[in-house]
Amino acid sequence: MSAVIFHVISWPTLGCALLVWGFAPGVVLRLIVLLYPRDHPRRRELIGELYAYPRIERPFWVAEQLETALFGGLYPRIARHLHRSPASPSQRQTTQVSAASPAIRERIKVWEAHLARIAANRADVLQEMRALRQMLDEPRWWYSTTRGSLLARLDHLEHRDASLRRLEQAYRDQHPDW
Amino acid sequence: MRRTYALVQVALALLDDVGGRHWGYELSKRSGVRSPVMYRILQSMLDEGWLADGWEEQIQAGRAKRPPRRYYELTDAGKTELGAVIAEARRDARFRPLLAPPIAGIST
Repeated sequence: MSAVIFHVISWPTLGCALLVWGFAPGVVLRLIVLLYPRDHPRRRELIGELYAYPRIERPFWVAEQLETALFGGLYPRIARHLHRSPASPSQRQTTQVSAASPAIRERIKVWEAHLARIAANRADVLQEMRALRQMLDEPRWWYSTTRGSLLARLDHLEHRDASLRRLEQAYRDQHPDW
Repeated sequence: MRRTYALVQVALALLDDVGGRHWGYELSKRSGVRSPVMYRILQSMLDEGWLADGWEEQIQAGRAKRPPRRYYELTDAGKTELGAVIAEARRDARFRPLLAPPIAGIST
């Protein structure tokens, strides 16, 4: 018994515990986020969040993220591979909007409003991206200290554009009439 | 979006600071919702257009010597929709303990 206690309080054990608790959460989290698709913003988000947590809470929080990544990252990946990609709108059997029931017509109206909103958001994002790119091409911004934040903003806009594009596609695939 | 206990908790935390930026850790602490559940709710809110997201400025993150963090902000649609979620929850007996905390010394 005393040998066990001695091992528990020995320096190598303490060093190992410090290594696992202090160093491993970051490594494990970086492995976990690989479950998300390459362009998924949660990859960066989770790594950024890790350092906001108190050191003592990090291992437990990282363990929780495995659940987040399995359902939010891995599951959609597998589902995308298992299921056939949905047919294009031209291949689908659609009914005329005028012949649809009032409930369906209402759903189509909501669907169209959603699509219009996404398209408007995307247009704003693309416009800002164009303006930022033009700014960054100007020589006075080449060595400016704010160049980093402009690039970060551009990076964010690219992610936003990608997520809006995905959302637009998802909405198109869920036409209420199909 | 399904009206769940966690959704109401996150909605309350978001409406605590209507115009501010919300960060994952603080939001999770304020709402008391586990982070996997909270991230699922935040993603649904983003998809619905109730939230807008952004990244912390590189300079600010660099000063703190850590990667930039993602923040969430309520959109106008989000303020309206989450207000409606709370109003609906007030009428629902399931959410009563959450929205009307018991007053000390008064037994129900």
